[in-house]
Amino acid sequence: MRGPPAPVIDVDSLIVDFWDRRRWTNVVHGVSFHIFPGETLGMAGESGCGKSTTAYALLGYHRPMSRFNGGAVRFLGRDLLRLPARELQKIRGAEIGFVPQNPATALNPSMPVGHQVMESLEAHGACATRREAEDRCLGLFADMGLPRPKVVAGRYPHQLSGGQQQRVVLAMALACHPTLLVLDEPTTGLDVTTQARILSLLARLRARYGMAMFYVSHNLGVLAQVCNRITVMYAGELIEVASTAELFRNPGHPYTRGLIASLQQVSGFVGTQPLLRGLLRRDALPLGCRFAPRCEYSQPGCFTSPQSLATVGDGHEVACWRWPDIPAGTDPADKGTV
Amino acid sequence: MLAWFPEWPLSALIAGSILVLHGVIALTGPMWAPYSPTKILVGQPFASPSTAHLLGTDNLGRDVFSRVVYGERTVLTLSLSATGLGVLCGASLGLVTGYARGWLDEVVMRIIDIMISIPPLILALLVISALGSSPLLLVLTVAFFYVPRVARVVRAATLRVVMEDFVTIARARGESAWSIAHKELLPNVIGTVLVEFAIRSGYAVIFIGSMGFLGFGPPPPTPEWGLMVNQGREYIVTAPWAVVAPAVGIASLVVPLNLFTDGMARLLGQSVPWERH
Amino acid sequence: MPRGYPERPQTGESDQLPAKPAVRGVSFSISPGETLALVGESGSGKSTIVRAIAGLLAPTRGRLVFDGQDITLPVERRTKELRRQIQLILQNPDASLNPRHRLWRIIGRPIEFFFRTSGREQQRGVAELLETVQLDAGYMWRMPSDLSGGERQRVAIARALAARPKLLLCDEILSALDVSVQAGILNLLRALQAGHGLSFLFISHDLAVVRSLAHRVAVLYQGELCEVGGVREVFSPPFHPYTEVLFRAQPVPAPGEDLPTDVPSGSELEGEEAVPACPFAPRCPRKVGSICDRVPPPWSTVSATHAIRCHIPGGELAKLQAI
Repeated sequence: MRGPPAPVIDVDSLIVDFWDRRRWTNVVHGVSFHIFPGETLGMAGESGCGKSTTAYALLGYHRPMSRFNGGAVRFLGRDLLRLPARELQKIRGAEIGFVPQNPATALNPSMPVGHQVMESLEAHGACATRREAEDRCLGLFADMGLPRPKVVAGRYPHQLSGGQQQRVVLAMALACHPTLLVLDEPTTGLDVTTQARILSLLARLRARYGMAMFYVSHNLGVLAQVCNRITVMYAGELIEVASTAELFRNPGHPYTRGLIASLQQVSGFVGTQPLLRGLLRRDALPLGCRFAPRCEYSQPGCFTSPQSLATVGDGHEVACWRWPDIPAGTDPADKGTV
Repeated sequence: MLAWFPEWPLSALIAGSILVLHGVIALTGPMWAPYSPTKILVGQPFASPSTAHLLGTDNLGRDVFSRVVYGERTVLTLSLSATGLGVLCGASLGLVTGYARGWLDEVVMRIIDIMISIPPLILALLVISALGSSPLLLVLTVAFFYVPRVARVVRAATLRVVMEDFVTIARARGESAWSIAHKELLPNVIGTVLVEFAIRSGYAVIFIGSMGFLGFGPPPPTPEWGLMVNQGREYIVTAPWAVVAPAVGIASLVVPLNLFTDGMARLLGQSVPWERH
Repeated sequence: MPRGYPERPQTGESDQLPAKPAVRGVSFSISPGETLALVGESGSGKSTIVRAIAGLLAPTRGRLVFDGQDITLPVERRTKELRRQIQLILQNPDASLNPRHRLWRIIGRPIEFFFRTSGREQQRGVAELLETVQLDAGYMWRMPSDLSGGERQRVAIARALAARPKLLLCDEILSALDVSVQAGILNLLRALQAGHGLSFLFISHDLAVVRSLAHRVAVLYQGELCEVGGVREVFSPPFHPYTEVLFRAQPVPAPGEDLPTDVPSGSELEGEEAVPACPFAPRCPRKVGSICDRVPPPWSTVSATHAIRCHIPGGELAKLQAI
């Protein structure tokens, strides 16, 4: 058996704090994972669990009023958290592409979208001449499945639909053939049909450009369709890592089971697992397992002993000491009548 | 209301306390000022600052300290009433046009565009030279300038709120326009209005000072700072204190006002449009 | 007593109008205690229909009937009683609560407005409503900014319930929420319907949600209905070609499934070409031919409650779509 290839990005015990009125509050608490070349890693979790913050950290970026308080994000061996701003600038956009949740915020409203893509190509020295940049830009737009690239290139962002804007942002992110593409809820807020088109476009692009992807979403159903492996985050900690098939066939953590159950519930399937109770409350986290207050299976010990990821199978890690006692996992949902 | 602003920047706190001091002087000054502000020859003309005359005397032998203290009340009354009137009318107009939209909005906005294109100083001079100078006229003129400018800003803030879903819900419930304006819209634009008031008060102090300096403010012998600067100007070599004292008075009011506005705006999440007048 | 809301008679052909209206010839009805889901993408006119029923937009043509009474009136001319009976919940929980008001004021206002209660009694009402939507009564002292998206949407539901309505118009109320939060709110809506006999007009682009909540489904494409039927009927063949496309776009909550097939994109730069007789024709994977562009498709009845508007007859569609 060959050893695994060197990962594209290796996140090691990442800690991020936010400034909350008067003190630093922790949002990402010692998160570690890695992504191999050409692999798509998903991250699932509810709003406010720290998944977007983690996505930003992969770009060596932290939002205003927040700070990195430990850990490392090694991109091809270089620690992005300790890189000088200028070098970071060179990597962002060129070697690591980023697609945010709201494409409108990523585009300059007062510039035709074609210019914006060409500008980012030129900023990274990817094209020698204007002419070349223009050709590359139109080629990218065609790759993104945008109809009539020439027409689209001349349009302003507000003249495009949400799905088209997201394609333009994707084109911009892929312009310099990045090694890693970070996507933060890229299809949330889009119609299902548009979402389906973006997802199948991503699969095509991965085959064609061969980049690794980090895909953040609250919807496990979406992650199931694009990811090789999935990490589940709760209150700033990873609570489960597994291959996509394994995660659905054999979910270990009660929280993961709850997420799958709510997905099935929302889809009108009768789930076998209890739904999630309550909501993530950051102001009332116990010392031990952070999920314990909402957990169906919690025991007094859960509230006091912190849990960390432990291997339970091939590439499958779960942060729950009770998982073997919990009744067997859900069947992957039958597809129903359709 | 302080609960809205849990954390003031230090500069704004200092500025705020200076402003409070100004307010106290305006309210209580006449009770403890050592001399009458208009009485001449309470001391030798051009007397230097001394224990008897803290800031010296002017060319008519009036006590500069007393005049500055009394002048506080004049400048604050004039600038705050002008600003208050202008912001009140402007904000109401902005709120109404922003909520009503449609033809009313169109008409009002065109009128406002015209009003804004008139240069303030020139019209003020025209009005005052035609109708004579009086404090009331000065207040009305300044308010007149502020109405369209405040209306435009508040209208823009209102337009942002009107599109929000909670306004749609209130409309669907059948709430009256008045109820929507003061229950749903006003709490969301009040920050803008407060910032407008603060920033415009500073401009009003300068404007009224300038008018006084040009002789279009309250007539002599009213202790008005701009007028005092103008009158003391001729004797600036012999009695610099007669010019410096009122000038410092104006500056110590305008600079803290601006700092205070800045701090308040930052806390309210507003930006301060310093370039506007 | 049955309630119906026929909206714009189907005879309302609009070719003569200079611009195509956002919604054309849409008719449907909702019975007491029933949930009708209106399915469609953004720009299909779903929100226009909701706003017309709420009286916020005036229909160009057509009639709205509520409890046998013509309510084709702007909100200002409707009776208070009518406005009370039809309540609205909107998509974005961040925008639908006034950020400057505490929850007791947000939820208390409709109580005060419709029932003229105030003080202690109003407060008790707010506390009860908060409990109905499974929030703690102590929440009434909080500001919207203290709440999560799911909690805010529960408050928006409580505010609508405060009027004790008969019909709730829900415009994409789940699409801004996490899946796990959606599940909780769906359960809440079901419980409310069972407990209060409410009717829902539930607007969504998410078929999964629709399937788990609706009794009947109407599919809307660019302002025209293309399929109407019971939830089981709409969710099994024959489908209208557009419904079929929507199904294939649905993320499946299980791995190992193939990616959804690429949905035909058709004319993406909308507004450039005239809308053909069948608005779905440019994207339709089962387009018959030029007849789709020229002749408005007829309604074909599949069963007493299920109708599809397509040039391909229902039986033939069923054969094509059998897997």
